[in-house]
Amino acid sequence: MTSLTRRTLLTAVASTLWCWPREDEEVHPGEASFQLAALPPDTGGPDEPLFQDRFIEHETEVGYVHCPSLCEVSPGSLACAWYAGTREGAKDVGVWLSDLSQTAKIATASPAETPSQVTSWSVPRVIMDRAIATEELDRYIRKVGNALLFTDAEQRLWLIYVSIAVGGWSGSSLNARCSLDQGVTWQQSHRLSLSPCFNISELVRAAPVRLTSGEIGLPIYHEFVGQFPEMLWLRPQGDRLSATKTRMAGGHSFIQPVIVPMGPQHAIAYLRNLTSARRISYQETQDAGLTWTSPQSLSLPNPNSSMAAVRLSNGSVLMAFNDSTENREDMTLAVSADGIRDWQRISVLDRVAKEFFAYPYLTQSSDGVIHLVYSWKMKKVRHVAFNEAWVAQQLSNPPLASNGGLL
Amino acid sequence: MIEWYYPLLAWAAVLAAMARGLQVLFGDRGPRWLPLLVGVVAWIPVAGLPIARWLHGFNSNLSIPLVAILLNASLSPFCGRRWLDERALRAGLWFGASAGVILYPMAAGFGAFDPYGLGWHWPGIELVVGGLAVMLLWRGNAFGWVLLVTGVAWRMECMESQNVWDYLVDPVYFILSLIGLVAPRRRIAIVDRVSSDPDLSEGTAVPQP
Repeated sequence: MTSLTRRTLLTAVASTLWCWPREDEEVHPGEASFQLAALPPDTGGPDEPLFQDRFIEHETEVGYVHCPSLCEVSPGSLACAWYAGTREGAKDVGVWLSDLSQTAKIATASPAETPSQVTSWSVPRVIMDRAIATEELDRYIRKVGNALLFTDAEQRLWLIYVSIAVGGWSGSSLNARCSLDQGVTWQQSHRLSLSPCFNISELVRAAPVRLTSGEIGLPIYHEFVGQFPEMLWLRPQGDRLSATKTRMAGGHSFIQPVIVPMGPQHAIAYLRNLTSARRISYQETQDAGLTWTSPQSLSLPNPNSSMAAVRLSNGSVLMAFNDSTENREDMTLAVSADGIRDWQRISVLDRVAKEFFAYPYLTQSSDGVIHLVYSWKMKKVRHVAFNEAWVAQQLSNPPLASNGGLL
Repeated sequence: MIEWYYPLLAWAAVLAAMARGLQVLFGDRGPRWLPLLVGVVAWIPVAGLPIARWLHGFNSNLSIPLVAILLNASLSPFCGRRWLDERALRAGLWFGASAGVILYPMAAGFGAFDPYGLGWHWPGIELVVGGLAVMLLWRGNAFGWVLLVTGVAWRMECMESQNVWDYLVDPVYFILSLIGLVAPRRRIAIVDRVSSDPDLSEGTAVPQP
């Protein structure tokens, strides 16, 4: 073979390999719209205000309970996942899961019934720890951390969780795991490749948003060198997730974005603020999450902590947050008509000096009940359930005391 | 499933290259097959998992060019020929440094644009790399072969990443490339010693610094 022929063949092979379009299975952000939450069925009249709360407790006390997330796995059934261990970042940290069935009863429970008579959370069980992660991912895993639950359009339950091989949170990688039976059994985990630098420093915290295409938009954040929010775009394919991501903002000032869809293309992202401004920041998108405005500050304070938000049926936004620039000694609810201005505090669910109430997570189930979970004194998960009628009632009766249900 | 096996090759290349580097450091002592033997250590199962898979937890995306350069360095003395000559290695260093400079600062948060995101669905990267591979192959530069093999790996989805950047560059490759370009005289000396066999008279001649 002459040199010329050989080179011609080689260049033809190289150009074919690199330039022939590859089968495209990735998500293309911006090509779908946000899927807004379906309104609960109209019962023909104004609902009675409803407020209930309970705790999700380990059988034996655990040193550190943190970062709960909540998901409606089927109409009337909730699942909650969080991580717990002797301390944050300890090797014995596991991701725990508990179920709450028949949540529909919450909406119809009479005032005479106590929450425990209605239903209660199942005994928590470990669904992920470093041993399981090591076995399923076939590599060294030193510890696990933040975890998140959500369902896709096919009603598969997904667990996204953080694993770390070396270092602290900035050494995190994200992994996915699927359950076809609402969390009873789980498929094998797989690693999501999301960062060019050793595939580390991607973390998850807040609730995902569904797209009309059936794909999932999941807010994540980066913590190595820069600290900034990102959108992870997920497409379920069997028991695996295909993932891409886009950036919401650069720099090193904002993490833990919380996305609240306000319309098919419009959403607000609330951001944990790492700067000295000590205010919750926000961004907006008008193209279904593809691009975002520069972060600006809300009037609400932020002590460098996570918050949660959900859009109510009248278009207003309900937020759960720490109402302080200094500490996490309270858990407060506030409402804004447009999600940006004129926030009105409607309830202080907890306020105890020198204690921690952190990492709230909000979701609205298909029956219209709003569920809030958060880390209570870092010892338990507190679950608060209320409806929009209760929110309306609170708006007309501003809080005077702690423990919102007893106002 | 092929992506499960790629780390076995990649980490074997890393261990073998480290062994070859130590050989050179101590005056080319030990048999030629020593780096090969050390590389095979990566495949020994420990607690049910090859050592390479354990190491995979620390760095899951060793790029194809880095693995190719490491294999060249560690296997050349054993095989009696060098696949990547001085010209190819220089092209490899420039490629690693250029790709890293484009990718890493912005991926780390400098600015609102993330070039890593282009690696999932923007065909421009593939066109640029394909064009570079064609150019290098046409000019007889062996690093064109490396990019061709990288294209094969990308097509076969050899890595668990679906992002083309991870096939092309990684932080270790980037840093080694920068060091190699900043200190060219030392690099040439090291490359010359690591990937050549003093007993061999044939093979590609390497210009001395």
